[in-house]
Parts: sequence; C-alpha cells; structure tokens
Amino acid sequence: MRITENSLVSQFLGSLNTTRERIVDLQDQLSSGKAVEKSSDDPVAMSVILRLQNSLDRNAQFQKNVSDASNMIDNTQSALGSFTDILTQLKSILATANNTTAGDSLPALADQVDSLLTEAVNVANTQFNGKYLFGGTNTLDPPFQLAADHSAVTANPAGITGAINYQIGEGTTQAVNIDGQEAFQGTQMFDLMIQLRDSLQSGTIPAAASMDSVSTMMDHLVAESGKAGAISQLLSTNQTLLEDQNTQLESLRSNYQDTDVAEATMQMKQAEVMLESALNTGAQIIPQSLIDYMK
Amino acid sequence: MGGLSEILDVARQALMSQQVGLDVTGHNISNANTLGYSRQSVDLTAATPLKYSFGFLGTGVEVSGISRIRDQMLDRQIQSTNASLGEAGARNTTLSQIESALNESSGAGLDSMLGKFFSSFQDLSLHPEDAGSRQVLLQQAEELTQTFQTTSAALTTTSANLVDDVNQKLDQVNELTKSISDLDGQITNGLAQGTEPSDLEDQRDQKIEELSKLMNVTVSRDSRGSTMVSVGGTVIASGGGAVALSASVSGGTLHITSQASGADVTVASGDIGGEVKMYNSTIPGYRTQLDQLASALITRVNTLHTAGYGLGTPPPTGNNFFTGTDAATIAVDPGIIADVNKIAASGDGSAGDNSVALAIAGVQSENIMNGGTASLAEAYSSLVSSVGADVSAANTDVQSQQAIYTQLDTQRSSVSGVSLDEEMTNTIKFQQAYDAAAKLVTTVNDMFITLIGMKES
Repeated sequence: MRITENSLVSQFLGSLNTTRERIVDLQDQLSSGKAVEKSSDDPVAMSVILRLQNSLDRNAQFQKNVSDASNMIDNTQSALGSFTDILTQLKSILATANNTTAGDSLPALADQVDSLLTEAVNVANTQFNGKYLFGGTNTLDPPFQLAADHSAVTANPAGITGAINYQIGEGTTQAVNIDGQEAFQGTQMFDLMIQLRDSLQSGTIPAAASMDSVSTMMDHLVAESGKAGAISQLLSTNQTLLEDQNTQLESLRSNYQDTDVAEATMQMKQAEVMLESALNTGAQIIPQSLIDYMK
Repeated sequence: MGGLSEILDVARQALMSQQVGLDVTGHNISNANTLGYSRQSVDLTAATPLKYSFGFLGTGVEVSGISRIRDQMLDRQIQSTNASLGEAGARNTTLSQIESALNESSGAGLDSMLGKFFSSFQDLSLHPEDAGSRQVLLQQAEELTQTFQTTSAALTTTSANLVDDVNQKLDQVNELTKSISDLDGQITNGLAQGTEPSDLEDQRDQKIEELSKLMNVTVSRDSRGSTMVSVGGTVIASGGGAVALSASVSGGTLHITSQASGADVTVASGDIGGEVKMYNSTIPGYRTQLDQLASALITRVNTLHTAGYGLGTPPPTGNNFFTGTDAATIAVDPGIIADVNKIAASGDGSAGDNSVALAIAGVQSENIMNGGTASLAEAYSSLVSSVGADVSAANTDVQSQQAIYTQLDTQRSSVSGVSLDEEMTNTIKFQQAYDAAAKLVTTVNDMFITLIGMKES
C-alpha cells in the first residue's frame, strides 16, 4: 500500500488522541473515585446504582423513624413505670390506713392520696417532643383534665384513643404509642383514687376490695409496660437489621459505582507507557524523508 | 529517414515534456497539505511515429494530458460514512446535553429530589403536629417541582437550540450547494473544451464531502461530467443551479423544506438529519416520560391529600397538594404555600394521626407508573438509563464511524494523497530525463559542427 506523509501524520495523531482519551477517562475515574458517574458510562450499572441509592436513602429514613419511635416508646415505658410507682405508694397508704386505729390520721392520708392523684394526672399527661404520649392521636391536647377542685378527672372529649404508626421498614409499620384508654383504662384509675381519697377524707377505712382493685390496676400497668418494652425490643432488633442492610447496600453500591483503584492505576500506567512509546516513535519516524538523503 | 533537425525536434519535445512533468511534481508538492487535493500525474505518450521503408520511426514524446488520481467509489463510501458520522455526532452532542440536564450524578437530580420529597412525608409522619416538619416538607416539595420544571425547561432549550443549529447548518448547505453548482458549470465547460479541470473537480468533490457531513446526499454524474446532488429524492445542486433549503417548525415538528417548491425534504441522516430526528422523536419521547412521571405524582398525591386533614380547628380538608398537569406546570398548591397547616397528615382530623402522611410517603414504593408495573423512581431510573444507553450507543456509533472514516481516508490518501518521497523521486526522474534530452541537443549540435566541418576541410 502506498503510504503518504499525511496519512502517517493523521494515523499518528488519531492513535495519540485515543491514548490521551483513555488517560483522561482513567484520570477522571481515579480523581472522582467513581467508575460510573454518568448514565452513559454504564447504563445498566447506573440503573442499579440509582435503585441502590434509593434503598440507601430509604434505609436512612427508616433508621431515623426507628430512632424516633424508640425514644417515644421508651418515654412511654418510663411514664408507665412512674405511674406504677404512684400506685405502689397508694397501696402503702391504704395499708397504713388499714392498720390505723385512730380515725384522726385518715384525713392526713387523704391529703397524701390527693397529691398522688395530681402526680398521676401529670404522669398521664406526659409530653415528649411536643406530643402528649397518652392522648392517642390527639397529641396536642392533654388527655386528662383534673377539675380545679380535684373532684373529678375527665378525659379529652376529642378522644384519647388511636394508634400512631411509624414506618420502620419496607412495607412494615409499627404502632409506637399506647393510648390513654388502654394504659389507664380511661379514667378508671383516677376515679378509684378520688373515691379512696374521699373515703379517707370522711374517716372511713376503704374496703379490702378497693385494695384488690389497686392491685389489679398495677398488674394491668405492668402488663402495659411490658408491651412497651416488647415494642422497644422489636425496634432495637429492627435498627440492627437496618444497619446491616445499610452496610450491604453500601458495599453493593460501591461495587457498582466506585473505581477499582488498583486496577485503574495499573491501566493508567499501561496507558502512560503507550503514550510515551507513541510519542517516541512519532518523533523518530515522521521527520524522515528522502530529502534527508538528497544532496 | 529523418534528418538531424528531426532529432533536435525530438529532444525539444522531450525537454518540454519533462519540464511539464516537473511542473506537475511541483504542483503536487505545493498542494501536499491542501484539503481535498488529489495528486495529479502527467500523461506522457509516444508521439505518432513516421513510417519509413524500414519501419516506423518514433518521433519522441508528447504530453497527452494531466489527470488527477481519484477513486470515485471511495468518495461515495466516504460520503455515506460522513452522513452516518454526522448523524451519530449530532445524537451524541444533543443526548449528552440532556444527560447532564438530568443531573443524576450530582445528587441534585429528579431521583434524589423525589427521594427527599417522600422522606419529608416520612418526617411529617413522625411529627404530624409539628409546624417545623411541615415547613421542611414544603421546601422539599418546592425543590421537587422546580427540578421537574428545570428538567422540562432543559428539554425545551435543547429543542430550541436544535432549531437554531439546523438553521445555521442549512445556511452552510445553501452556500455549499451554490458553490457546487457554480463549480459544476465551470467543470462542464472545461470538459466540453476537451481539458480536464482537475483542481476544480477536487474543489467540487471537497464541497460535496463537506455537504455529506450535514446531510445524506446522493451524487450522480452524467455523460457530460456534470454532477447532480440530491437529498431524499430532491435535487439540491446541479449544473442548472442550486435549490436553497430552509427549516420551519409546525405542529411541534421540524420540517426541512425546499424554498423553491415549498415541498418537504426528507433528511434521514447527517448532522441535520440527526438533529431533526432528535427534535421530532427522541426529545418528545423523553418529555412524554417526564410528563407522565409528573402527572402520576400529581394525581396520586392529590387523591390521598384531598381526603386527609391538616392542622387547625376545624382541621382543613379537601385541599390539593400539587397544581398543574405535567413536568412544566407542576407546582405546590398556593394555598399550601400560604399556610403549611393545610398539609394533610391526618386521616381523621386528630392532630397526632399520621395515616395520610404515611400513605403519601408510601407512594414512593407504589407501582403507579407504566400501567402499574413500576414505581416513580423505577420509571425515572429507566428514563435515565435509556438516555444513558442512547448516549452510549451514539458514542459507540461515533467511534465506529470515525474508525471507518479513518480507514477510508487512509485508503483515499493512499490513492490520491501526495507522497513527498514519491514526488522527490519523480523530480529526480524528470530531471535526469531532462538532462539526457539536453545532452541529446548538445550531441546533435556536435554532429552539426562535424557535418559543417566536413565541408570546410
């Protein structure tokens, strides 16, 4: 084949350009740390990366949801604990009242029961992060209202029921509250306390049956607290699961998207050698012609 | 038998012919780097011999013509490769612009905005009674609608740029066809007078080649040597003149029309063909996908949102979240912008209920696209990867067509290109022949002297 100077030059420039393009591409991969940056780099990988990134983002959101849910349920559990403590104190007051022979001290005990009542209503109106924990879905209004003269406790007329569900995983929601109706059986517990207080106030030792009622309520609260504990446990297991998933997703994403630095560096070295030898050959061959040998 | 003067005549012819040879060599060397130049060679033939009783006696050499070395077959292949190369290049440029407008790699693209939007609804489900999470949600929703609008606007801009570009390129086409038909006139004149105007032919071929990058032209030649250039069946340049083309948009479609007849001209490939295809089918295809995405989002979120309750006494209900119908018009409802408490999180009006917020957040993984087979993110991801695959295919096409072009160009260079080594060799060849012919003159001169000397002595 007849080779002209121009075709020699254009072929040389063409292959030099290809090598340089390769170097720029590798340099880009090495400096950005990403092998797939644009969809056109690898459309299939990019769609997987987008999906993984989506899952990672959702996973992060679920972790946030779970952490919020844990805080809420833990606070619920500790509020229920406080309420149990109040009932324990109530029990000991009742025991004292039963052992009392002198009717004079009963009104003093009634005062103690009254302050326990206030405390109990306060606990039942616990707020966390701007929410009344036991208001059901009516989280903005206190679920229980103690009358100014302490004669009665009324529940929020808008309702104190309703589950608050948080999404804690793909397709999984979890109720993260125990509503006032369930926790305190409406106003029953407060009604009992008022009844006991009034009875002590009037100098009557409460009947043994009321002692049993307090015990039943304590059992109920312990059971509810256990339920809260179970939810908390479930959330913490879920958190671990989400963290594991996150690690797996992240490593998958990295597999698809991140540059294999060792390989890219090696290819870079190869390309550099190619560039060098191309330049070297070009510089030696192109300037030569017949004219060099003509006198 | 011829006399000494005949030999002198032969020598004179030889001197002249070798000089023409050197002339042509010089012309070749001068144009070694001229674009589109084909090397020329002098055609030397033995002059008509004279018949004598003992046989034919040669009368030397004569220049029968100067011809250019050109392979028309290669030209045609290069023209068609050029058209494919131009088409792939136009696709590549336009699609790369669209790919970067989708902006997926920077984390500011629609995909991540959709993710953040739904995440905000998750956040709202954690604190439905909180104005703060509503404010953040509103902000994310506005960013999402803006991203839809910018992406849609980017497609519009790309389309508008294509029209400008096609117009500019048609100006080039019109100039080229005019020069081609002018040159053609001069060439046919020259040929009619019996000379081959090689340099003009080179120029015409070069113009046709430039034209072939812009549109897929077919070239035919008649017996008079006149060239007819046509595209999509319409003659645009011939010895008879050029037909100017212009572009116009009607009904959302870009048409190339002949200015003379007003008829549509089909440009299937080349730079212009590629751009027309982008404008008429590829970009509208992407836009449809983007609009479907926006419209599905608007419809689904609004359906859920209207049934929900916001914050307040009484809790506001029946409000749309989005307004608009497609990617260009999607926006957050002005009522919601004015009062974030109108964002419905609750399903029953109680402040702590988050069922609607959860339901809207759940739209992220609902299959509401492509007839219930894909989620919004999946549909968007398939749009991104189809753009990516198109860019990648265009890239490959550019590379392979470029490789074919380089191959053909090397072949053409091998046939038509000037080799300086060869021209230097020719220089020596002609110079030596010239020297020898000159030597012949001096020899004949000596012979004359001898002859005259015979008479004197």
